[in-house]
Amino acid sequence: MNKATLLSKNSPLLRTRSLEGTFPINEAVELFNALGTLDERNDRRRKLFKIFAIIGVVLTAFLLIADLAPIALLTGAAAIVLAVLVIRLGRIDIPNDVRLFVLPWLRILAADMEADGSVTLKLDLHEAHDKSQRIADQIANGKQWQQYHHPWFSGRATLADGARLHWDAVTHIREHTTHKSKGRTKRKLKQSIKYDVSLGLPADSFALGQLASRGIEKVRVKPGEKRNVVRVSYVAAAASLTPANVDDLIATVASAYRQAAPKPAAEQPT
Amino acid sequence: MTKCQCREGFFTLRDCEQAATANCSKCGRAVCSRHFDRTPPGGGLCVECAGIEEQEGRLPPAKATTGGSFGGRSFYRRRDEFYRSHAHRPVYWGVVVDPYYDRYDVWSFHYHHHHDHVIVTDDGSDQDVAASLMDS
Repeated sequence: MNKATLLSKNSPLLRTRSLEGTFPINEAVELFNALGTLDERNDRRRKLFKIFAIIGVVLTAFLLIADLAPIALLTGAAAIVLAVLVIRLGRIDIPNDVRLFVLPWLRILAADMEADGSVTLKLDLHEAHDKSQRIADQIANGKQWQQYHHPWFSGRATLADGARLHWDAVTHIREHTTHKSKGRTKRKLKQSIKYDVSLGLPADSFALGQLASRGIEKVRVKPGEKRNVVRVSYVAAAASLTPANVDDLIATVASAYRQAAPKPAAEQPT
Repeated sequence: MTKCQCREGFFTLRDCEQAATANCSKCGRAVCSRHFDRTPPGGGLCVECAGIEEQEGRLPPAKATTGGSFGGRSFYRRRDEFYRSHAHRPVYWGVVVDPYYDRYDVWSFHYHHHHDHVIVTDDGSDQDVAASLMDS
């Protein structure tokens, strides 16, 4: 998929809000950089149009009160046009995760990969709280919890040091609504984003050390003849809908690297 | 030919293979055009120094989408911040001894026997460590 197709009105990414495939790393970074720039521009325009639409509505009301109907008609029409533009821009809006999570992550991969390397990506840009992500309800402590399960970003790549990296990010949301008197409701929400990382380190250049965990992640190590595979899982929990933080994924991969030490040159094959 | 003295990578570091085209006005290292940030007033900086200047508020923050596919100083700022906040000890897959990286706890070791040990001296020229040791 080239850049022009990805950014066009009929872009499969904008239409289906998902992307899957293998891309040359530099091309992937450029694509997401262009997407991020487009999203940034759209967000700015949407904000501006929204402000002007609100001003238009307020102005129209004042003009109608002041008995200036012909001018009120013009400002009213302008406010409607701006409101339509806000809605249309909202429909093609891309989550900020593209700009604040996927792009920085791909740049890190690009820095750690050979320039001609490829990355396999699977990205779902639907909101985690979208009804399409809802799974069976759960009953816990006599309460009914609505559940959402959203595997939104995974991929794999081979890094310049020979390590094979695989990552997976899944958002899980539990929500419980209590109906109180006088029609009031109380909503309780729990969000967790789980990052699973698998790092296959070449056995000829990395030696497994003692498990080094910060205590907040789960670490498993599987020694192998050619590769030592380190698996790290980390869960970022929140009591509200919180955007994913790319530093959590970076720290999970860094934790996988911490489980091994580079072998001294004398122990490496020439 | 003097090579760029910036190190690429995030989880592990390696030398930039490009030829140096400018010098950083802060650290004085020779850097290639890709690792040179021309925007700071009063002379360009290497992207690593520019990232630190940005962190310390002496340069305005670069947007996430600037810097093209490479990311420019925003990438190096993130790297520096991550190394410090997470005490990350990156492995350096190279042989150049550069005191610039003493600020990080770099796991420095050379990869395979066929590499020569090289120190970058103050005048930017490369010096073969093995040859120096033989001379002394």
